[in-house]
Amino acid sequence: MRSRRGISVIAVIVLMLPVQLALHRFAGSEPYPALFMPSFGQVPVVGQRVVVTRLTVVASSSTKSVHVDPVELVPNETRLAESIARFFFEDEDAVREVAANGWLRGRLRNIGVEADNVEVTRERLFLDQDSHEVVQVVRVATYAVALDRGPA
Amino acid sequence: MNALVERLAGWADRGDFRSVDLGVYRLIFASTMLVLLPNYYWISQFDPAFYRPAPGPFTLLSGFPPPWVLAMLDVVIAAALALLLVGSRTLHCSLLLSGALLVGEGFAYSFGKIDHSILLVLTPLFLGMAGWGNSLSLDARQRGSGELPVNQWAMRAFAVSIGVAFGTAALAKGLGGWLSWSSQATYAYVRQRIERGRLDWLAPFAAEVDLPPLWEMLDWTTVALEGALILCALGWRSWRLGLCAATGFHVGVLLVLNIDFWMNMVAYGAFVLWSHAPATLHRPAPAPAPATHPLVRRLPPATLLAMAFALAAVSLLVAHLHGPSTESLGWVPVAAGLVIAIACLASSISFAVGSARSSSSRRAASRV
Repeated sequence: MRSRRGISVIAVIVLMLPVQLALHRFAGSEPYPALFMPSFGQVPVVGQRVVVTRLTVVASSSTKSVHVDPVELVPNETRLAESIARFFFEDEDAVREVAANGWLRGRLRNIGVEADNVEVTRERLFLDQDSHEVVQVVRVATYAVALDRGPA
Repeated sequence: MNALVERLAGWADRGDFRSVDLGVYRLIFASTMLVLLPNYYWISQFDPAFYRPAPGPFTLLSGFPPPWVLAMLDVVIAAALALLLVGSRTLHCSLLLSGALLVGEGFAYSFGKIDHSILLVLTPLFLGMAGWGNSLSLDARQRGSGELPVNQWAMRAFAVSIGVAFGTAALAKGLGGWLSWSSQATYAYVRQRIERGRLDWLAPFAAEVDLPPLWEMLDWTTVALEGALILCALGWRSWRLGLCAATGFHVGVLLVLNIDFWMNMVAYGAFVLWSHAPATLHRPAPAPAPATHPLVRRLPPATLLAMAFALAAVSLLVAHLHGPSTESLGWVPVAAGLVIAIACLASSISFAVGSARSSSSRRAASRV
């Protein structure tokens, strides 16, 4: 009886392979929870050139401008921090939301930066495979947000 | 049809695990997890604007839970690990731990990226069903009878789950261009990570290796290994060989891409025959094993529980004050896995050579 149960469980697990792949394709991104290991997405190579995305955050006040490491703005010390920052700054609406409610100003203050505006730039760098030099830079998006003090 | 089901059921139930193997692994799992304690209270510091759940049940929620829920989740995980360590109410604690980890990781992955710790999440679930609380535990001491058999099918189901997880990765990589002769995907990721400042271990040296055929071979090897793992789950010896290869793969990923997949290494430990030293791919001969450790036999249950909870409280405190230890210690399980894999392969090779020698000498003696 127990063996039958085991075989049923194993059959369900095996069936999950095509079901998960179909869900992934249908939803456009990986579902959770699911039996997945890293697929790394599309290979970041275009015409023999490695593509790297660069995120630049500049915080400015009336007196000065400073480059801020986006990872430092994320209150997390695990390896998730880098991806949290990358995904977050891709979403302009979400950044405007935290700029309006005081959260972003608070985070900047936490790392010792006083600012009234933040400018975010996302670029795609194309690296030559032989020299490893950047041979082309394509700006994907640029936006600026004014930092609010949030609810008093 | 019935005969086929019976044969499949027989295959699922075939295995050489003993409850003492799983009992030792439970101690290793619980202590490792108490050191690398997963915690989720940090999520409470994020604004709801960050909530970007993956397709699935977390999309039904409008945002992160309140801080007290995350704090409770951390406490539940630490307490469940403490109870697992001493083996008290092991099955319930295993199910609770898998559930809590599933929920915690679900929120941690609701920022846009999934970090693939599902095997670690499933470990207590499958091992609990297999019976990792039947040996070296308070449960075994209270039961008092002899060694209980292992539900081998649960171990087989866990192995198949790992195979399926890697199968999805292999298929996605295959469809994503990894097998194109001109892609050299591994090299591209090394370059990408170097540009993002990941310069530890062998990454800077690897980036200088200008040998496209070698990188292309690595791409193909990666996809082949990930795709083959599900077939390895057909037999225990092939499965353990597959895990040894997967361990080598994770060590390579750590050295070249600076990604420590410690979660998988901890999960693979479930398939080591811990009561048989040195580690091996299969159990050549059964050995008697005690159902409870002498320490567990002597100390009163209340003392053991108090010690385990004190350890869990210290782990929780350290994790909250000091930050996650996975960032500094994540490489340790990977290195330990490499040592075990090498020992496993070496002892199996020496066993195979010894068997071949003894059978050839027997043949020679019979000719004389």
